[in-house]
Amino acid sequence: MASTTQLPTRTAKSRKSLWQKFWSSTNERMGYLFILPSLTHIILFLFIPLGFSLFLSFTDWRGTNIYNAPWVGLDNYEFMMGDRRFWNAMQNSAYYTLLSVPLGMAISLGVAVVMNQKLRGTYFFRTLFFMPVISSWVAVSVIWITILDPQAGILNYLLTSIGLPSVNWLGDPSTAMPSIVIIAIWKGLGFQMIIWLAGLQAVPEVLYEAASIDGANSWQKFRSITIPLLAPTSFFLFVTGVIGSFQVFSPVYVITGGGPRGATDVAVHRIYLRAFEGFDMGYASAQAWVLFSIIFVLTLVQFWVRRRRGEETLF
Amino acid sequence: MIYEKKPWDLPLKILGYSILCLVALAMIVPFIWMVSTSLKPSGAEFAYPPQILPTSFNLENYKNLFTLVPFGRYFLNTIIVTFFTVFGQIIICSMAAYAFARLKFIGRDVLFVLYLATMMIPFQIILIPLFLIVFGLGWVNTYQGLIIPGISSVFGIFLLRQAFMSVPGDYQDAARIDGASEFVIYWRIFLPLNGPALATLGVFSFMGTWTDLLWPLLIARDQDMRTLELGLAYFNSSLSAFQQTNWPLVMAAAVVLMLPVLLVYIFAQRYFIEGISLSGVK
Amino acid sequence: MLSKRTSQAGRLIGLMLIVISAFTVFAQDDAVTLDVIGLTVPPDEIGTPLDISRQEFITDFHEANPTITINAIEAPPEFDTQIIIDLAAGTAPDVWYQGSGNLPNLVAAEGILDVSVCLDLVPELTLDRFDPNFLSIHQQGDALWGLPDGGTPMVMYYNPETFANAGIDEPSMDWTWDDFLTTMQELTLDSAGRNRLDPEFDEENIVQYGFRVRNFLFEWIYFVWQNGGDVISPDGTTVDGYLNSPETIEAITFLRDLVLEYGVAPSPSALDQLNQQFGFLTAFLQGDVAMFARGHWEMVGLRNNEIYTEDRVNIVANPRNVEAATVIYESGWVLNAALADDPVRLEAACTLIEGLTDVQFQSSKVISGLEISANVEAAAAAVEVSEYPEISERFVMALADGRADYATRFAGWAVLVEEPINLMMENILAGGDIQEEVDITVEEINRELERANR
Repeated sequence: MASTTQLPTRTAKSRKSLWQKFWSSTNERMGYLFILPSLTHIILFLFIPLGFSLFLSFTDWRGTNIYNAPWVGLDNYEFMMGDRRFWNAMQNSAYYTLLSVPLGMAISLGVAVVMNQKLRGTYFFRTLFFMPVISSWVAVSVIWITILDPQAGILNYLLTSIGLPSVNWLGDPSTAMPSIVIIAIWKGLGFQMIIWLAGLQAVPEVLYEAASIDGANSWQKFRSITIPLLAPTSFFLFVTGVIGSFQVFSPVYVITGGGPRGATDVAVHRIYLRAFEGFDMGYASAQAWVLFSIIFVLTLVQFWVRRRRGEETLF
Repeated sequence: MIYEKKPWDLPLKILGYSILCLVALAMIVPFIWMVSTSLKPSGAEFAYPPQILPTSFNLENYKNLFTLVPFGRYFLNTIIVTFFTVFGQIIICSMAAYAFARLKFIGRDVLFVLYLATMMIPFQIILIPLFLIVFGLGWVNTYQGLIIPGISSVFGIFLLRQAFMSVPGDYQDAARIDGASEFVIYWRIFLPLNGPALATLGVFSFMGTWTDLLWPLLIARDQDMRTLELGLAYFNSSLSAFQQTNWPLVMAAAVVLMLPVLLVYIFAQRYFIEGISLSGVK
Repeated sequence: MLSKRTSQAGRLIGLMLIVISAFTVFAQDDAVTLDVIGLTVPPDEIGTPLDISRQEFITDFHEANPTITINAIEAPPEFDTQIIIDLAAGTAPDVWYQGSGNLPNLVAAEGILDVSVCLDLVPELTLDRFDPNFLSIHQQGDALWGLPDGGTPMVMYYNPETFANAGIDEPSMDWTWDDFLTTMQELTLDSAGRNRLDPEFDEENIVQYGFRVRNFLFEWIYFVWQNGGDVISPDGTTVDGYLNSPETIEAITFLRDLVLEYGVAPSPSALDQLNQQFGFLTAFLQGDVAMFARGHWEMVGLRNNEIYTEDRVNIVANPRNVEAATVIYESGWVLNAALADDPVRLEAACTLIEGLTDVQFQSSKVISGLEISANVEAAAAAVEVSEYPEISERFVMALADGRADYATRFAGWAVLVEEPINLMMENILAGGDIQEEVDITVEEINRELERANR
């Protein structure tokens, strides 16, 4: 308090008002109690490790003894500026995100809308659609490697039987990433569909009934009732989708290993190679933090766009 | 949804079914292939042309899975770890979600952004520091080491927060006027109202824990502490790295791992529907 | 007074107790348990001869050294990731089996011990038991980073039946690049049985290829060496003047031309087809591809193949040009650096790796067929008892021209140098311009090396 008296009055006032705000009846202090368990958890198991990795990104730590980590300042970040392969990998991640997020959301919404029509057997279908979500990436990868095989694969068999040329899916640099996207959409469809369904089922039926009375057709109802009311759901899927897509790793690691010719070498794959095959933890941490910053800015932009559009704000 | 009967109702229905069947086919064929591979003897998995339906019925791979490793112990470990993780996630995430969605306290938004930001860091990069912390706590080779780091998730908080925000504010206000405490409102109103969302989180955390490999790999050192996925991964590990992967065995392992999750999902799906009818929103 | 005396006596007794207990503690300390990775097998290999020989070793060793108990830990999946985390946390085993390609990384991380201390601690351990080619991989300056266990030179496998199909003689151990190219052209056959040198050769119906060319550096670095070139400077600081030297470019061109110019090796996509359709080993055994480069371990895969017969597999040394050369891949036993602080455990660990590399255990595990033992005596004995003596003998002969894999010399090799070169070759085999690809790669690798050697 002694220091407060020495500060200009304005600051003292605002500080006092924050103090007052904290104890005022509008501050629902119960909130702190509610977040206490998760906050403790997140500090111990996320913030501290994260801070540690930030520290590592300014060192050239390659080994075991952390006390020996040589401090190199911004060297890692400087080096990254000219790291052609890292930026190529960032581009691949962006390409993957651009393809997989909108396509995945659109297809799963389509399926969810059909599922929501209370047709018989949706129970069965839902279970079926969820199977890829719960199977391991290794199993999924092996299955798909065979399906996408240029000679013996089912997909090319289907294409050629309807008169289309066969495609060297995973072997051609131009089709390898789209193939990974197909696999990822296939695996994620059930997950996204459930989230969409939860959103769809939260739309009050009264609204549809009222619209029907006004003579609206199905498409009009979908456009002017379903879509706007699904905004929180689509926002959730979009934000988590972009975050998840920039972190895509497993299918690339298991199926293509970054090839052919570097076409599927995504950012996290590169970071993983650096950290665990190159033992270059310092530089890998720096790369991870750049990736993190990019995702963070992208997410902020999404929040900002949403707020500007006047859609239901998150805060 | 109640739609009025229209003349085009039938064609629409047929269209709907065709879409569903097409997608269902795309979903199921790979799995039939997976099961039929798991029934093949090792080395016969890449026969040409590919055989979708099982051509042999060789249960050797399944037998190996159950007899070569202490399967019961692994199963028990997995159940313990999964149960406490799912339970913890549902409680801790829903509490935080309630605060973030419905209580206006100073610093809330800043905190929430901080929470969200942690989702954006690739897990691989915090792996080593995280392990050092758990090691420092003396939790290597313990259940708490396997459970506690996964007992809360930002994804879960985000998911439940979105669900809690869609609950009409009147419910909360009315309860407050009746003198209910925040905890009662959370426990008696928000949890029951959001059954589907909680079930969704439950299924996802179940799934993530059940099939997690990387973390148990680091924590479970003794055979007694291994989880199912980890135990099965040992089939695939060889220091020489020259051996060929035994795909039929891997596929059999994948089938065995998948079945319990599928059962849980089927059960939870029923709960989604019950949750909706209980919710009172309709 | 009395009380003072009794207290003195008490003190004396106390002192004696301390001394006695110190002795017992010391005696107990003498008994050590060593955590060892590399003496178990995956669950589905339990009961195999390799497993039995390892089990017997553990029992025999404990009998011979009652104070030392071996706690054999299963090798975890993703071992190379796990070991670095374990070293960081102090949970790494005392002794483990390590592919030598990881040695420089572990040395840089100060995770493993210079085992030359063992030479003094355990007099039975002498370095003359090891093949110098394998031993030198572990020797850097005065340091000895672990002891070699066994390994293999890269050789060329060939299917004798394909030579009969083409009506030509099988290659000899001292063949040259010219012989190699002619042989490849004669081995590549169309469906009418015409070879590549025949002007009528039918491009569309190739039924037998000569060789398999792939982009991976480990399958072609010795072609560069054979041509008198190299890919990196001896001190590992630059690739400029090496990767882009005329000798190296010539070797790369030679390999590329096998695919694109002479058409004696399948293109990457044609190779993919063979792999997917049959699996490569089956394609080789049924004569689709006559030759391929690989190490000793492939004998296991080949012999396990359904259509394997003895007449379908033989090996020959790599062809020579300016000189003869091949690359060696090896694994060995390393000690945890933390053992340096504990003399008793250190001595126990030294005794253990002496036992692991002596002729008895080394001879008992040759049955695995994965590699040549680093123990000279055991390797010679293995040729005697081999089920394929000619091949075994040729492997040992090929070892003489072997050079250490660069991954065993330079930290970060796999990520900093090998991976960019693999990508470079992938682009070249897909038709990329050699000079252009090499120049970009030299620039990229040198940038990395500059940072690594800062």
